[in-house]
Amino acid sequence: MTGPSRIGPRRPEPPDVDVGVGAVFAALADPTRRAVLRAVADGREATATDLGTAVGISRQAAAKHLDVLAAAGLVVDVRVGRERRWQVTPAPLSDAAAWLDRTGAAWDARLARLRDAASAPPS
Amino acid sequence: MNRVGTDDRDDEGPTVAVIRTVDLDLDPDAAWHLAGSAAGLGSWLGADVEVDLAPGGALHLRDDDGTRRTGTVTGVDPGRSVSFRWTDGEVASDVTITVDGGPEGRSRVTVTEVARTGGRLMACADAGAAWDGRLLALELGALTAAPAFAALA
Repeated sequence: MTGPSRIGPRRPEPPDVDVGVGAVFAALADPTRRAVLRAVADGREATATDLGTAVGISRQAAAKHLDVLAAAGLVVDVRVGRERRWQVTPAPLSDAAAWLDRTGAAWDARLARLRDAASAPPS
Repeated sequence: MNRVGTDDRDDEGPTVAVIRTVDLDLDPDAAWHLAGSAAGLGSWLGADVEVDLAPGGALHLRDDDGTRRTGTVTGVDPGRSVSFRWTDGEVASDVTITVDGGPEGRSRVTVTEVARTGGRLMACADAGAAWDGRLLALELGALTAAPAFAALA
């Protein structure tokens, strides 16, 4: 058989991998890392070299950011021949965005009650 | 009003928080009694609020939508702040409620909630040090419009 072989998606599994919205937020709090994620989302299975060029950082720096994003479940690498190409895994990002919306709305409601309680005439 | 910043903690790096503030027409002592005391929390934090306001004390309440939350008080600075860790059964997070004095005898109450990262605690010691997730939500909205996320639609 000739041509590049695809081994398929491989999710890295470091011993202390974190999952959940907290890990997503930790991964996304770095603006350069967010730029790397955007570059992955805008492209189609890009390499760390491609992503570094797109973001304006070295391949090594891009690789480090990709490892953090992968540990948070936001991207996964696919082997194409000898290359590692990266693609997004959207579900954790959507979960994190939903948590932000839900939590923000809940606090808006609680603080509205606090404000009303503060304004109520003394009993 | 929201504050924006980063919170670098040891090797855990910056994190994202939901931050909300409200200004009250109360002096700080009265604001603390309402916002941070055990009796006061019961008037606004949720329904059926039960809290033992001491480090390690238990916290139970019910959200507006019926979600039950349980937690533990992690810190109390009387008159200034109270912190606790809670969960809705799916996501565990750390909350800090801080009361600051403002101009003309008024007060500002700030709440910060940070989602925990697996087994590692990512609480905010300073409510002003975490990065407000509202800005991230704007970016996430733009990000999820990218073609790679189309499968979610």
